[in-house]
Formats: sequence, structure tokens, C-alpha cells
Amino acid sequence: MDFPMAARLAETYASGDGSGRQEESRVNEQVQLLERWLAAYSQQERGAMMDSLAEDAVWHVGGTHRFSGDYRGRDAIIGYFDAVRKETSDTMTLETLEVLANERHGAAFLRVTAERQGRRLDTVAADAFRFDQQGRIVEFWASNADQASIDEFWS
Amino acid sequence: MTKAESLRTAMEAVSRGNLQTFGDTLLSDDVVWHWPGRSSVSGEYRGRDAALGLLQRFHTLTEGRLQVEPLDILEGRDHLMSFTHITAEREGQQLDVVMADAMRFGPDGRVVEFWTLSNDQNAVDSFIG
Repeated sequence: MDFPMAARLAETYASGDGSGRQEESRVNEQVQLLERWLAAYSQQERGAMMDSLAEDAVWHVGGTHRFSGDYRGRDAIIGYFDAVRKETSDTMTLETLEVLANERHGAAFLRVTAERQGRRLDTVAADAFRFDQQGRIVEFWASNADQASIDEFWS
Repeated sequence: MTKAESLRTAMEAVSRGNLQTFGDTLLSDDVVWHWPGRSSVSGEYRGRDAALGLLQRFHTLTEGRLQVEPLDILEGRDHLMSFTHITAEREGQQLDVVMADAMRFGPDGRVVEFWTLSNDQNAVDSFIG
């Protein structure tokens, strides 16, 4: 069997490309931006949430539940988070396990808990972020430890 | 060995068709691999053998048809995320997505949880079938 794709990836990993060690200050700024985004979500600071997002940001929500789909633009994204907050009666909490970033991309690993209509969600989520030239979130998407239980939770 | 180095060693093994070394180097015995979406490979794979089975099936289904452009690797204390730009064409159907492979490492330096995340899951699902 031949796996040229894996060979290409191995070469890149060997070169250390994208480790983020170059441009250390931008790296720290982007980690701080993600931490501000997560804090703004938890504290329901809409202004700070808006400031972290590019005007044309896109948020992709996976799965097959009522909230699955793409949310385009700040208003649509904030609207999504408002709807989730309402559906879970403000019980959703995010515990940050680790935040990683360089000037182009970011990652957040989160423990997510929430309650809805007697159902309880307790899962680890991995969020991926892409930044624009100004360092704002322009695209982000997430997966959860157990997509089936997420779908069940929102069913 | 850093996490990125383990990943590199594992990928080199895969490139030689040696999935077992990939598994032994990178994956914990009780690794959980989450593959989202609604394709024929979507689901949760528990244990190293199940994870290697997933990898085998994915490569068989997509063999030689994917163009992969590595974008970034972010490595932290317990986690790593690798971004790649994936393009492909099949029977007029275009695939153009960014994949983020997310990994959580256990105390022995091997991956205990793996998520394969795409910015367009529906496109990935259609392509895999």
C-alpha cells in the first residue's frame, strides 16, 4: 500500500513548520484573543464577543441536530449562542483545558457541561479556529467527544 | 520525543504502509477516535485496533485521490492540533476543505483521544460516501 499523503505530512512535521516559535508575540496575542473570546462567552459580554470576530466570520456546527449548520456573520453567530443559552436555561459552562495558537490558527480544548429538559451533557470538545490578517476569528468549527450524545441532547 | 515528533515518526511509518508502527508509536491502547458526520466511516472507534481499522478503511476509500497541503501544527502541554488543506476531485465533484486533527495525549506520551474535524463535514461525508 502507498500513502503519499502521510509522507507529505511527515516531511512537514520534520521541518517544524507551523510550530509557532517564530513570531512569539503574535502567538501570545492570539492565545489571549481566544481566552478573551471564551471569557466573553462565559460572562455573556456581547461587545467583547463581537470584537473577537471578523465581520464575515463563519461558525460551522456539526452533527444532525436543530442547531447544526453554518452561521455567517457576527449577528448570526451571536444569535446561535443566544439560542443555545436559552435552550439550556443558562446552564452551559465551558472549562478551558488548553488553548493553542499561532498567527494563523488556534485550538481550544474545552470540557462542556449543560442541562436541558432533564438531560445532562458532559463532554470534551475540540474547537479549531482560523484568524484573519487582523488576528480576529474568521472561521471556526468544533467537534465533541461524543457526537451521538450531542445530537440526542438537542433532539 | 515531542508530540509533533511522535506524529512525524508515526506518519513516516504510515507512508511506508506500516500501520502497526503508526499505532504503536502514536496511539494509546485505549485510544478513542471520533470521526464525525454521516459517512460510512463516521462513528467512535475505541482501542488501537479499532482506530487502525478506521485508518485502513479511510485510506482504501480515498486512496490516491486526496491532495494534502499541510498548514500548521499547534503543540501544547497535553494537546496537539494539525491543520491541513485537503482537495480532491471525483466525477466532477470537488472537495476543498480544511481538516483539523485534534489530539489529546496521555501520561505515556501517546494519544488517548483523537478528533477529525472538518470545516465542511457534509462535503467530506459526500466524498467518502
